[in-house]
Amino acid sequence: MSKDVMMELDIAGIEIKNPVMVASGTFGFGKEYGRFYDISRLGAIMVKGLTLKPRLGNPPPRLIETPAGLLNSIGLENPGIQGFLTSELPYLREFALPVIVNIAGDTVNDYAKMADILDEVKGIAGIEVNISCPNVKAGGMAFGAVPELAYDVVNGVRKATGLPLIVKLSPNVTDIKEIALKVQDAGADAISLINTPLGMTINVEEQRPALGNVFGGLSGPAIRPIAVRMVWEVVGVVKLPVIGMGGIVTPHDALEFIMAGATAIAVGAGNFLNPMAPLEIIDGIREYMEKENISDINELIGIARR
Amino acid sequence: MSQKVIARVLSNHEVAPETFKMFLDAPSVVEKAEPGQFVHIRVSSGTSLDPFLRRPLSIFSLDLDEGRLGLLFRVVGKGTSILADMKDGDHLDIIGPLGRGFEIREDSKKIAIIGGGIGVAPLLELAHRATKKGIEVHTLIGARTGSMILCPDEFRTYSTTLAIATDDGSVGKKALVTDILSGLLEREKVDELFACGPVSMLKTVAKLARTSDLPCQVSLEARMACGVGACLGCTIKTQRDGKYLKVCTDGPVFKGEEVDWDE
Repeated sequence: MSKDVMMELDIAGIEIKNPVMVASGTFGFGKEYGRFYDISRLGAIMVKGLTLKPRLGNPPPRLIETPAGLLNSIGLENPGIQGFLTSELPYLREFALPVIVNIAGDTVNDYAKMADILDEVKGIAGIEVNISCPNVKAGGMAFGAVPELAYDVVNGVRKATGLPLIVKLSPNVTDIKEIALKVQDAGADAISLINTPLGMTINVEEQRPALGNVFGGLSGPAIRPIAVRMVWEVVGVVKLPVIGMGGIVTPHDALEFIMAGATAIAVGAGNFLNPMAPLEIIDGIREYMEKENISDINELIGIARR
Repeated sequence: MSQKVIARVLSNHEVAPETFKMFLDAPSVVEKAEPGQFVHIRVSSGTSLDPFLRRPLSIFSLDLDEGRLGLLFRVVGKGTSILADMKDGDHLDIIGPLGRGFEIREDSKKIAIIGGGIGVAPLLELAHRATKKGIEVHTLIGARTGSMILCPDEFRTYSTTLAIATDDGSVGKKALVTDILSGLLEREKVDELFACGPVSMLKTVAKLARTSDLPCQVSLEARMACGVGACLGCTIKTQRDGKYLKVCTDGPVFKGEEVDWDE
């Protein structure tokens, strides 16, 4: 028998039993995959992005497969923050599972209001501030692409809540380090990246854009090298812990991010291909640590940088 | 609990041009499945992650005694051509049964089943279950041409009457399947309609149902990612204040009047 390995971590003040989370927008509000396995085995859940008011989302078609991935333009369809609190959170409270609530707004005030509402709620471990949704016209990515706007949003949310704040960054920027430093200055406790790079495909048979919303966010293994690079860059300049995501499907993929310096990782589109992927990744990381005689996950974080 | 199972391919044959009938050994799926539900199949193998998404396929037949799951699919792209190449003894990673299937009303005595092209796939098991319940089943199948009329013998086994329509008149009547449905509705007093096929056909069936004041269920298809209701990628527009419904979990079977057919 190999020795026990320690996978517990503290990230932004959130205690997680292992570094494997599930990414916002790919895991609903937990119920859907709760039918496959005990979701309390996960490190944390990042729920579907919420807005102040319910949103219907974008017109179909909303997704299309691309080489080793997919493009989506869901457009933040969600029941609104109150709908989440009333209809979805009670289910999640049944699990010993940190719930990280992803929020997106049209204005700085929207974000602050949602943070204020969540601040009062029991059973929420943290907030993921989404300034990177590529599929909505107002807000979303617009905030994540301009350092000063990113600062304003995070600063506004910071003033409204004492909850741990994770800020999710967009890869659709020239210099992600600059944005990362700004959100650190504004009081973020952690950074998650990457959201989806913007992409597009043409339906050649019909001679028009394949997605109803023309552009969409690209996810899946196709984007993984971009994500690993951006994690590497951001970890190099900020003091905050980083949650890495982008095309993680196997334990090997997760290890890439951790070795690049991510404190935790999130499985996104990988859930679609393999609903059991998060559990297989937890087991795979443990096996790797045992094999390599690494007793504490902290020893692995950023090991490729040394 | 939903489940992901590894199912052995028992057989896979081309039954019409570019159309395959595959049987899988999947007892745990078969015992829970209802007509109209689907399975979500991984088409990449081994460590390959391409094609990245699973493919949703309607359940064609359910053999409870043998634990045998039947699928009927047409080759339309990369995923289905991989499935077409599967041989006896190969294995497939499937999730299912998924989605909301057909529901036959308790008081239905006579139903009409309308299938167009590959859209017949989810209807055979429905005809089978209805016949077992002693319900009169009137089946109408349409296709472009005679060679694309799929599995007529199987449908005949589970139908009181079977009518066939082709665009070119090579088999059955030279008509649209919805034209022969109008005729049937004049002759027979059916209690319910069930349909699957091209959207244009479903739209007409839904319209005929409305004018005849009959309940109607249609099975829709959409590109899917998760297949379980998490990603919100496979939505269709509904009649309810422009709201969207998910084909994977709200459907794939919808009431005809729920769907916004003009979208």
